[in-house]
Amino acid sequence: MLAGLANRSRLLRLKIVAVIDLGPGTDSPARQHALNIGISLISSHVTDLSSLERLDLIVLTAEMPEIVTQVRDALPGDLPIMGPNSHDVIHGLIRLVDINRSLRSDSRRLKETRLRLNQFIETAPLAIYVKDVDLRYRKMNKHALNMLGIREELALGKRDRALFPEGGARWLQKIEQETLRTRQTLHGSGVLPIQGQEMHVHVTLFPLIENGLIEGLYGLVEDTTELYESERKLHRVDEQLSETQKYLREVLENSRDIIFLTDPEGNLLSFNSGAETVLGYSRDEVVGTPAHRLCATPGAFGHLFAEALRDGHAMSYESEFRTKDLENVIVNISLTLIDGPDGKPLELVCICRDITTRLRLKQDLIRSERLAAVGQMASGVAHEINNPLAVIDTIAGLVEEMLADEGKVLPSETRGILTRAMDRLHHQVRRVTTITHSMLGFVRTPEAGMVKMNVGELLDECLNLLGTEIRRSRTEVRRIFALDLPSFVSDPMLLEQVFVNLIKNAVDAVAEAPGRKGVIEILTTLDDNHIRISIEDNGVGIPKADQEKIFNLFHTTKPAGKGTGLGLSIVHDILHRLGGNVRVASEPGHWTRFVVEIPLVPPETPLPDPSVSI
Amino acid sequence: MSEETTKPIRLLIADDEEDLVTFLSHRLRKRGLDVTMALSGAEAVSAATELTFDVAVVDLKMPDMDGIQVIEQLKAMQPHIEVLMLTGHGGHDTAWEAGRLQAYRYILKPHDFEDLITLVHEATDHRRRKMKQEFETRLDELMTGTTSPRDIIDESEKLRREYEQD
Repeated sequence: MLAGLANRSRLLRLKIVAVIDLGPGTDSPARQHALNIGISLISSHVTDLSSLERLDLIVLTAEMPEIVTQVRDALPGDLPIMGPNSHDVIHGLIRLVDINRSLRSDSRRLKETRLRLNQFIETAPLAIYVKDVDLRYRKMNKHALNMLGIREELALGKRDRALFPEGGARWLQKIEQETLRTRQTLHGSGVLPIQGQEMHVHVTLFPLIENGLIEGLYGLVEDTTELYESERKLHRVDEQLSETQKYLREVLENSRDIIFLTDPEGNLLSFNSGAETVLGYSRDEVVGTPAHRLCATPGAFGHLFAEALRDGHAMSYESEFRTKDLENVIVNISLTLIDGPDGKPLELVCICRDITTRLRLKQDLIRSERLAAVGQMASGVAHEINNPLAVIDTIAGLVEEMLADEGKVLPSETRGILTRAMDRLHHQVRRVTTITHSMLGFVRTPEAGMVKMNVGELLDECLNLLGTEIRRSRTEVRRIFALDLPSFVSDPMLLEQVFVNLIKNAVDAVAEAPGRKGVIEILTTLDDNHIRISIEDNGVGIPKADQEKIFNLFHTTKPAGKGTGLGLSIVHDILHRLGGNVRVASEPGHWTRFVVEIPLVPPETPLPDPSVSI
Repeated sequence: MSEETTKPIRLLIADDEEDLVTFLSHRLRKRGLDVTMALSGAEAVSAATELTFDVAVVDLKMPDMDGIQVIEQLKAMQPHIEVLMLTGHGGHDTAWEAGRLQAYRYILKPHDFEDLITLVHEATDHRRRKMKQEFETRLDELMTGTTSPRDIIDESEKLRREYEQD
């Protein structure tokens, strides 16, 4: 029995002080007994007692009422004190101590837990409330009160309908009732009208169960308004982004510029409708194939591509693409590298603008300028030459006449030589004249005289001017003029130069074709917005190779000394300025036909004329 | 009017290029024309104060006077004179344009002599036809508008003298 007790007390690790009368070291029977039953003797002197805490029991080994008083004074509380002869009750006491101690510890833990829970509830960044089974508020934490903007005493005991506008929290009540009914933890989200604003909340509801009975519920309310707002903003931004993307896609897709994407290897990923229009390929034909195949000079494109891969961007002002019909298109090109999220090259955007027309206009302008410069010089020179030439020709003619009339006195051989010499002199003068006269054709009137005119009258005037040449070459001129051709506004001076040049060419062409009667046919017709004048001769024709080049400056097919290479270049230039055009067709050895088209309505803004009056 | 065709054409030739004037005049005279030479604009104008011409061949650019001024002054003195404008310059400038409008025709140097002769004859015929028409018109006006027969005779005699002298 004693051994069992000793074990038990050791297990309990009772802190028991035996206060004894003999002081430390004295081996009294009570002390011996205490040791025997497993009570550890922590102190043996009364004076030490005050420094001791958390004693479970004090055992006195002698009848010493004054010591008991001292102990009671030193240690407040209901510490059990045992007398010296109460061995029998020790067992009971120990049990008491056991129970007491366990109770004390449980209640302490409970208190601590409660404290901590309350602290948590008060300070939590969540609104927390407690409702009873009638859904009246029993408790609300600070956050909840703040959220509602209400004082605790006004909220407790109230239902939601007292705190929220009519129906404002109905959805929450439904979940609360469900929680009470099912005794399960439930969640819900919704809007609460709080302080005049809509608050988006997320609520978690816990059933409050005590002794198996449902007592009410806990509610945890999380304000998700900001989250909701940012989600909505995000959504809006998302929508805007996708709209912008759609817009950009449409812009890119419908741009008249050539726009395509390639992968970093240069294979086409996309091909917009501008590219389809300009280059003639359909998207399906080219997507997946290397972009450089579209280029007239794939090598140059390769260099540009490599540069863009290296520097992120590359440009070229004049690159050439080749259309499906194998025509070259001049573009300025801009390549931009786009990196993927991993920082590696993802794709290349290539934007090209077709500048072929602009470049052609620029070339025309340069050509015009060059012609004007040549014209200035040429007409100055021609003028200076024409005057002495007139003298030479007059004198040659005089000598010729005198030889004919009075040269009979000369030996016939001398007369023959001189006659022939004079004839050659005339011939050479005419040769120079051809050159100087065509050089004069360059000179332009500073204010081009746009007037109402009639093409038939103009052609008659030109034929008149060329009467001598036509008669001399015995060429037949057939005029087939359309009746009722409308008069139109153009520059008769400039057009006169055009037709004089063309008719003169025709006269020369038939003169060079021996063995048949020269015929020039001049045909005028009306065609929609143009008056068309066709001048056809049955002369020597123009070699195929030359047909393309005859409008170029200084290009001539005539024998040396006959042509200057200026005339047709002037014709082309003038018609271009008047908004018209000229074409040539010819069968070498048989015929040549020039077709001139003049617009009935002159161009709104005449092309710039850089020529300077002389 | 066969009488008039046999009457030599009275031609004024004005150019500062002396060689041209000299030799051209020589050749034209050989073709039966009555030629007066002028080596400047001023000479041409002063010649026209003394003599009446059917046709004047005038160089467009002379040092002292613009061809257009010469043409204007000649036409002011002799309204019926026909002018052939001679030019080494094909330039379509304003003087050229004005000259072309007043002249019967323009000729680019170096010109073909035969063409020149032809044009001179054409211009003379043109002038005479025009004058004849004018004379008849004025005579018609006289006949229908004037009152006494005496006046008609006097006035028509005046008119006849005016047109014959020209």
